[in-house]
Amino acid sequence: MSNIAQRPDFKAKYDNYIGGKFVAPVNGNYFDVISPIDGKVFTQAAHSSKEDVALAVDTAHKAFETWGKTSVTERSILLNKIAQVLEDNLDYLAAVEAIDNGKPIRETTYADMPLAIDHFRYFAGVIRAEESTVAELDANTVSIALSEPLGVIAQIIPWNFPILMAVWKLAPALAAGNTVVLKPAESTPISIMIMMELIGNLLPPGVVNIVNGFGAELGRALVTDKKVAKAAFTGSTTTGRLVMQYATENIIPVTLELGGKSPNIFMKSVADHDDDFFDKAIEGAVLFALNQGEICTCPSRLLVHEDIYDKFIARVIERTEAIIAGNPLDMATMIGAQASLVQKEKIMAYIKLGKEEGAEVLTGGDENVFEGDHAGGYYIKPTIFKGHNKMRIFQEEIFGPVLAVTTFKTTEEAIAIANDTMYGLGAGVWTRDAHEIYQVPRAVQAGRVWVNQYHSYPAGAPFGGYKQSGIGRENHKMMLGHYRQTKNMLISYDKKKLGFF
Amino acid sequence: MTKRLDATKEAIDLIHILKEKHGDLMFYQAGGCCEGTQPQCFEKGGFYQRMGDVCIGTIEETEFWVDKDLFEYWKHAHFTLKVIDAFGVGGFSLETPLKKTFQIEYRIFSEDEEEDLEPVKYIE
Repeated sequence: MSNIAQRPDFKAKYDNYIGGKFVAPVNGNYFDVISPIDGKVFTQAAHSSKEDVALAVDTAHKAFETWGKTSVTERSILLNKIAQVLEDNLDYLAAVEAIDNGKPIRETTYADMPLAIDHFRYFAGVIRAEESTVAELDANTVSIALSEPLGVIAQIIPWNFPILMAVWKLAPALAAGNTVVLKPAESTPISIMIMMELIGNLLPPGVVNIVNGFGAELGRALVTDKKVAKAAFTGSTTTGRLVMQYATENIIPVTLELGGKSPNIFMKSVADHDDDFFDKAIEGAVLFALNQGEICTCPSRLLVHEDIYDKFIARVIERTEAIIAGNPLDMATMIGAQASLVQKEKIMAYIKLGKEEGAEVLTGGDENVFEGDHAGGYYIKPTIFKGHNKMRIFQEEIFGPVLAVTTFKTTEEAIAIANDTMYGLGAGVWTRDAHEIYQVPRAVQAGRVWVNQYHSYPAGAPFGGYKQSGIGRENHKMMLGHYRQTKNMLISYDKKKLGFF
Repeated sequence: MTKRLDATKEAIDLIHILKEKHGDLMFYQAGGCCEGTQPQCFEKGGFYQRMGDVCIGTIEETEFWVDKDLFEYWKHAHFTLKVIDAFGVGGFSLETPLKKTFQIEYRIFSEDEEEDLEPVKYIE
């Protein structure tokens, strides 16, 4: 008998979280929240207006007066407490996240939640070891460069990892001493509220504020609020540019994570032996289906050396066809539901286009229809297309379980294909050759190149984009720099005047 | 002349509803995560286009702009603007609070159509 997690109970509706309390939206409106698992409404979220944004920003601004002055010790202890509460509630949050987003519970249990928990611990740790700098510029002149938090941070979160992406932004912002107004994605607004039910009381009121609603109605008001000191966004190129455009109004910094069309390159030596490493490489190619392909770094372009193509792709197809699709709440399920009906329709439009463009369907190419308790959900079969890099399915981020495969003859050709994209977020390079292990990743224009692995996101390894994939490096202490500004005290110990006047 | 852009009746109706609320509109489509490669509807002038961006046509006097890099890949496809009665991809597109989302249905032009395509307008 399969191991299906119990559905947690949800409230009939979820308010915003402002000033340490759950508060109803000013206009009293809510919108239905659908679980992609079965396409059914399971609760409601606040359909907020600009007034709620203003209230949240004002509250965060007030809270910053004291929170911004807390010691790193206090903040570190608090972040560790948050991590512990999340760990104590891991199974509950993993189930909630699966229902909110549609992803399989084995991923929320073994990836999303553990990574989120560790993220708080990482930032709790690194801030304790940090020091500002002091330089003696000459015998009588000392420069102190001290880091200060920015103030209120606006954070706009995507729907593909609702809790984890929120935590990637919350943990460094809080560690650096900022307060936050965060807007979850409108298709996954609930898991973050449930996380706040658990951790909200650990934080002083107003330090973290969550406002649910639609980007069209809240985004501009949030980013352009005079009391907002910085904006952080993960999502599409268009919206990222819009956030940047809004940020020009008050000259505030932005960090952006805007996706990619990531190449996963398999060099000839990969198939030298049929061993554990070859097996790992096959899995590495099939990771396009992780999280239903809804990852900015989805390795959606598979580049395989032509000499090993037949042997390699046969195994990749075999492994892809062995992916167990089904109820995301079943621990055995490997691929769940696409996060929304609209997303599913978009992916299906691309699959249709790939076929029209003449790409060959190697497996999948259709939606997946289920009976029973997850009938009506948004499921797509993992799909592999063979084609060339000038096809749209190679160039556009489909954000679904769709892999576009092509071959290369030389290393130079592989690098040229890999870099023939406007994006530069993630890439994978697989080889047994010691020289290629260094040289090929260096030649790939991407902020994160996984070498002989893919899709690992440990705190401590900087993650962010080259080219049009964004600005900033999350997952690393350098993100603290994106949530702070430098106060330079330039001190003279010379009693003598300059002599100019 | 072959048009690059058409719209369903539902899409035209939705444009009229949004125009009443927001005034003149524009569409913009680029790539990326989440709501990437979705047509996004903004108030006219609300989105700052890139140099070289391409206007592939108008629907109800509303210009439809495509990111210049992606147009290279989309220039062989006809766009039909349609509407789906759901939301979920995110972004700041104006129709989403109405629980609707604009989408594109693509169709590759035939060789004959390619010979006779409507000219496009660029940001210069």
